[in-house]
Amino acid sequence: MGYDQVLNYIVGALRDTLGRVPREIRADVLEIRIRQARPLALVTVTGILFVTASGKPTTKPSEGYQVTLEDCRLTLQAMTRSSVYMVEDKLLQGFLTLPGGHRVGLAGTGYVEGGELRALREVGQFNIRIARQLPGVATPVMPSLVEPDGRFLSTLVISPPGCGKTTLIRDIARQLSWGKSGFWPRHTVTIVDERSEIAATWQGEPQTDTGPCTDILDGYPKTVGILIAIRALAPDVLVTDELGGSADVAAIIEAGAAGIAVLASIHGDSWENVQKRPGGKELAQSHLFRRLVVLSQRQGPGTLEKVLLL
Amino acid sequence: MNELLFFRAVLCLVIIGGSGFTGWVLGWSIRERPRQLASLQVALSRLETEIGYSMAFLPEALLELARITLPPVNRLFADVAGLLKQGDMSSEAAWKQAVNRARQYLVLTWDDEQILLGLGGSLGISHREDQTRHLLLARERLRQQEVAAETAKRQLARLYNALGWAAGMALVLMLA
Repeated sequence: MGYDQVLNYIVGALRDTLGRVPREIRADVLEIRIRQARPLALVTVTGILFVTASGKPTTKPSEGYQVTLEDCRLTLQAMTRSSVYMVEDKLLQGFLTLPGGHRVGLAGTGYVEGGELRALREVGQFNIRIARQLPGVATPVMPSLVEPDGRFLSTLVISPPGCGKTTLIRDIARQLSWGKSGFWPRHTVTIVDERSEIAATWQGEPQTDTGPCTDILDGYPKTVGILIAIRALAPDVLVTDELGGSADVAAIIEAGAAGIAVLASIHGDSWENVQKRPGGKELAQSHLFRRLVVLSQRQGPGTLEKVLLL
Repeated sequence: MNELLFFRAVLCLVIIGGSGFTGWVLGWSIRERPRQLASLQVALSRLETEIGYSMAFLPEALLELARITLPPVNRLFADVAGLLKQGDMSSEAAWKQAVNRARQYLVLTWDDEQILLGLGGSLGISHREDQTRHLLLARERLRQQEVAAETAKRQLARLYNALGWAAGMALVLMLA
């Protein structure tokens, strides 16, 4: 289980405390929140709970186990395998990936030089998001995203943050990579995973099932990774998450012009509003995307609002 | 009578031999220390490369040092790597424990140990640039220690050796 897997990367008193949390609560935990000099907290499907030193859940912050400086130091060390230098770029981006695909958001004191964040010191806040893969989550939309001959049609997933767009594009990529007999063939997929969110690569190994015919460019800036994918990896489908501006849009338009189908996601609540964002107009004018999938949180994360055919 | 003389002769030889051996051991440690300090510098230089180019996580980098460094210095790196792999110990604590254990097989002085402990307190906990700075500083300080140890070796190693034998003979003469 994800919770127990994460415990391997928390050490000392903090692990003992979290290890005493009752089993029935562990199953509901979405996030573990470790904040120095503040009570240890769990975000569960029913809300925020604090954990006492004996591992009992409580709603009173004053009863929660107070996280110490040593807890934070040892936890960072366990998560980085005593090698902060190996993940310094990830630390600057504010996250780490653990085996199993669990993501850890980090915050501390920034060291700025020449207006740029150069290092992170005294990391005292960890937000451990327990990964939950949902294989099959894309199954209802898959038939709309492929041609009658099984070829994938370029698709843009639109949703506000936290609505499951990464989970959806991961599963679409997985299903395309595996293929489905009689519906679509195996596609060669390349994922440009700038923030290690789609494949959650750890030490070169994807921690999520992204399929047998998938190449992953982990940590590459989107614009660089997309060009490398076009030139070197000859994918049928190029996958990337969270398009951020004109440069990203220009890169995927180039991929589309090279004959590669694109699967991407973007923050937004509608296609109309997406077009108002930087690069949105170019995106619409390019006619790259043939399908739009809009998600919301109306009935919980991953609520499918509509699939638009363009 | 003859047996007493024989016994006294053996005792004298034992005293001279023991004292000579003590002198030789002291001389050996003085001769050995510069070699160990040089060995440590070479290893840290390799570690600087491993960290500078983000080639390996610290426990694996230390195991690699243990593989390529001459004994007995290699044991220190193997020890730290082993302790770090256990997981529940900070790198500072792991270095401290390993340096303490190293007193049994290395001939380092208190000053040498402080350099290693200082390095251990900062290894693995900061970004690349900072790590290479710490390693460079530790290497420089070890180099200075090595220069001093070489001078001591030239001046003292033979002296301790000779003094060992001389002290043994003096003791025998006093007893006689």
